[in-house]
Formats: sequence, structure tokens, C-alpha cells
Amino acid sequence: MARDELPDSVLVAKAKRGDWVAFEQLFWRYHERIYTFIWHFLQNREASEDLTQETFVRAWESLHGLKSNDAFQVWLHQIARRLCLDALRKRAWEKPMSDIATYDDQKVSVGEVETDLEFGLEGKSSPEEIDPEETLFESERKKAVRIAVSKLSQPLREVVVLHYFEGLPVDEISKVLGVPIGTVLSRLARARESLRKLLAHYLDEVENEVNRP
Amino acid sequence: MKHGKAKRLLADYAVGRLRGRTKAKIEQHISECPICERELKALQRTEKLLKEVGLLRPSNPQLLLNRVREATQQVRQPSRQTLGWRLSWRWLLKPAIGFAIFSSIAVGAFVFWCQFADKPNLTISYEQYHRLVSWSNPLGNWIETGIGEMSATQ
Ligand SMILES: [Zn+2]
Repeated sequence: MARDELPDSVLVAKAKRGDWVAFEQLFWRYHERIYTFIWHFLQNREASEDLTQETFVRAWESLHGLKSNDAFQVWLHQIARRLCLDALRKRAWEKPMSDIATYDDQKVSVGEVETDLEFGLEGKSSPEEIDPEETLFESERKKAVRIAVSKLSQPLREVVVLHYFEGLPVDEISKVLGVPIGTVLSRLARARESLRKLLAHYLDEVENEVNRP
Repeated sequence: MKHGKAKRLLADYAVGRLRGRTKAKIEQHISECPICERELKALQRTEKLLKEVGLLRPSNPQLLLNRVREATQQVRQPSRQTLGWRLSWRWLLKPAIGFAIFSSIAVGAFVFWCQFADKPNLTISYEQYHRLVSWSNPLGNWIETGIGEMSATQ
């Protein structure tokens, strides 16, 4: 079995014994998920990269505190989430009073998001890096979805990012957030209702029928 | 199920939150109501849109990893020794807290006893007392007992 196919629990056990290479494998496995998760909190590339770095640094430092090696993914997200909430709290505190309401609502102006998305979407900064099969049209659509998601309140936005962008199952999300599974499902439902309205323009473009649950 | 209620529950149905009779009732309603059927399809297309978005990538992941390595290995990596020290002292925490609580109760009880308990009946004789005092301050005792005065008058 190739090293990068090793399960988290094995890599975590090695990393706990000081094996940096094993920890690197965990970094490559999770850095995009953690970056995406953080980006949807902060909506700023530089700040998100800094917090992604800090998340992995904290993970390495407190790896011995992780009781179940299988729970690495959930635990890593919990570290990232705590850092994000602290950063948002700090940012709200530092902002002038007129802007605090904006951060309390966890809403960001579309203009601000668009600016950062132009630079940060999919991280494909130069044209040759872009997958040739990925049409410009699809990119626009993805961008529209990301902007719509950024307009959701934070509790709804984080479940959307975890479930639809990262593909985390509902029970794992409930562990990350420390809420019952029913709450996660309810938030997913409310988020989908809001997004259905925000993305009405794009829904007609979705050709393929989706089977009922 | 009435249209209003079905409409409110559609999103919950779409995410698989409904079970049993409610689920059966809403499915029955959707099969008969074209508005709810259209709305459910819109919710399902929304899910499809969301699923195709995927992950973002940091600008330079290798650089990010290097930064993590620098921060952990050069500056803040907990050395085996520090870690060992931390682990070896951790077991002492609970006994230390227990001891602290016990000693504060003991000190409190002693202070209470000193204030309210009867003073011990010191049954030393006059002679014993002055022997004690004269040992610590011979001249003072001499004057206090009147010996000085006596010898002065004599
Ligand atoms: Zn209906």
C-alpha cells in the first residue's frame, strides 16, 4: 500500500511519534478542505492562508491531545473553526461601529466577495493552470454559487461548505459543530431554500434531472 | 397534506429529514401538486449546483507547508523532553488540588477552634511563671517582682 493511501489513524499514530512525513501526508490530504472551510468564514485569501497554516501548526502541537486517531478530520475542522470564530470576533472588535453590524450578520457585500473570487476561485491564478474541460461558463456559475453561499448566515454557510463543497457526511458535521444531526439537516434545508431563491437564474441552466431522495 | 404545509416541509424532505408518515404524506401531495413538484425539482437542482462547486486551493500549497514546518519545527515544536515533563507532572494535578482543598479546610478549622474554643487552663505556678520570664528577660522580671524595689529600700 502506498504511503498516501494509509488511513488517517495510521498517519496520526506515526505523527504522534514525531514522524513529520506522516504529518505532511495529512497536510496534503486536508489542506484544501481546511482552506476552503476557512475561506468561507473570512472570504479573504491571505487571511485564510494564514489561518490554514495556524490550524496545521496547532494540530501538530496538540496531536497528543487527540484521543481517537480516526477522528482527525473532525478534530482538524474544530481547530480551524475555533480560529475562524476568534478571528471574526477580533475583526468585529477592531472594525468601526458602523461595520460591526455587517460582521454580526456574517454578511459580506457582493463586491468584496467578487474581488477576492476573481483572484481566489479554485486557486487557478494563471490561465494555463485551468482545466481545459472547464468552460468559462461553468466557472461563472461556480462563482455565482460561491457568492450566493457567502450571503448566507454563518450557521447555514458552514453546513453548506462542509456538506456540499467538502463532501462531509451529516454525522461528521454534527461532530464538528457539536450540534445534533437533526439540527444539521434543518440548517441544510433552510440553506437550500435560501440558495434556491438566490440562484433562481442558474437553476434553469441545470439540464439534468435529479432523482428524488 | 395541505399545500401550505407541504411547501414549508419541501426543503426538509429534499435533505432527507422527514421520516415515516410525514414523508409518505408529502410524497403523496407532491405526486398530486404540480407547484410542489416544480419546487422540489428546483431544490434538487440547487443541490446539484452546490455539489459541482468543490474545493478552493491556496495560492502555493508547498509554500504553505514550508511555513507550517518552519513554525512547528523551529519555533514551537514541543520537544520530547518538554512533553515528557508535561506528561510526568500531569498525574500530580488531581492529588495537588485535593491536598490544597484539604489543607485549607484544616487551616480554617484550626483558626475557628482557636477563636471559639476555651483557652487551655495553664496551671503553672507563680514561681514557674517567673522562672520562665526571668529566663527571657532577667532584669525585667527582677523589677516586675519588686525585688529591685525591695533591694533599693533595703
Ligand atoms: Zn403543493
